[in-house]
Amino acid sequence: MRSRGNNDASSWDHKSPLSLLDFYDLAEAREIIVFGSRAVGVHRSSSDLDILVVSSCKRRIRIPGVDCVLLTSEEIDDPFWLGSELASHVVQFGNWIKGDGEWRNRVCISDRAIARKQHRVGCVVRNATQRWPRLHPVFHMEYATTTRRELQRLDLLMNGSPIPPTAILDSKWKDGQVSPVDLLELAEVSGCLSTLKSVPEFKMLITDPVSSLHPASRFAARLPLFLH
Amino acid sequence: MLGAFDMWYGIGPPAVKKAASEITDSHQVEAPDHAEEEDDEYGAEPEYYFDVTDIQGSLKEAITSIINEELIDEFKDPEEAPTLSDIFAVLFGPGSELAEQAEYFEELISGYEDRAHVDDLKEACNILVSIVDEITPKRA
Repeated sequence: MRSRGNNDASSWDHKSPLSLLDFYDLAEAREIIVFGSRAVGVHRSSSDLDILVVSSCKRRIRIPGVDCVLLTSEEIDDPFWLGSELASHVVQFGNWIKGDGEWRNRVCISDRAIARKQHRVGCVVRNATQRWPRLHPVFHMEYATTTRRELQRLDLLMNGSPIPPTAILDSKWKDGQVSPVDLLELAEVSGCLSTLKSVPEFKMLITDPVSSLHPASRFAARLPLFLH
Repeated sequence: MLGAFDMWYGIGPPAVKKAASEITDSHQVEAPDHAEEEDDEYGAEPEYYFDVTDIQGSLKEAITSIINEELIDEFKDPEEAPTLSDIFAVLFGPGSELAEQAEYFEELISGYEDRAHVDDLKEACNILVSIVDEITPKRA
């Protein structure tokens, strides 16, 4: 959903500061919404700032430390967007900096978003199992953590709930609010349980509450109490 | 890793296609998890996006090979998965062009909602080609 840039590898300059054109695009935007971990206050110092910009322009905005999703006024009203995982997240957890979010009342998680997540879970599991013998153990852990988080997200989507920032997913897992058995049932729903079982170590890492807390997510323990 | 762009996404200049054919000649590869052009009751997706799981997996394998060589002290026994840019920062210097190119490459293939636009993948492929060209020893 990002706007398109050119394909010239020699022209990249993602480290450049906010340009006048970027500033102009943001100033002209119809809506600017901060979402993700920084909107909820569960970010790390290294976390990017996630912003959604609704604008008439489709030019890529590159600002260091900012992950910018650009949508046009037409796209924001598209059923594809309104039914998406990201739209429901933005509506639930986003902070409107500019604009009124008139579209927010029409957001509803679609069957398509659920099917897409099931497909995503299948892709991750197949990739992990196919590559398992050729991967360093740190990537085994990474795949296990990714799969566990995606299964948690699938569970929420299937219940019509918006997806919170990853730190909150990790916190719920760490606190035992998510059942490993439920995760395996969700893997079955996604059609990848037998693939998952073909690598017992992978299955064990996903369902072990300690193992699938990747080092990168240890900060989840520092979440404010109101988020638990 | 370069061949993965053609094998999984059908992207790349001739050098990439050659690398892909070499991979498919030597390995049995399961059908890719492509993101097809979606068109259902919600209408066509606004643009053309691809699942990035395959190329990210390919990168993990490449980094594993580097770790297993044990040539870089910092990553002999990593507790956290290093990125390609982490490795390049050690090999070529933190502010080096290669390290920054690697960082940008990884950003492009990270996608959003686990998908990346084909233009981002093409740009990533071009960057990877230039990185490979840069680090390949030149004949005198």
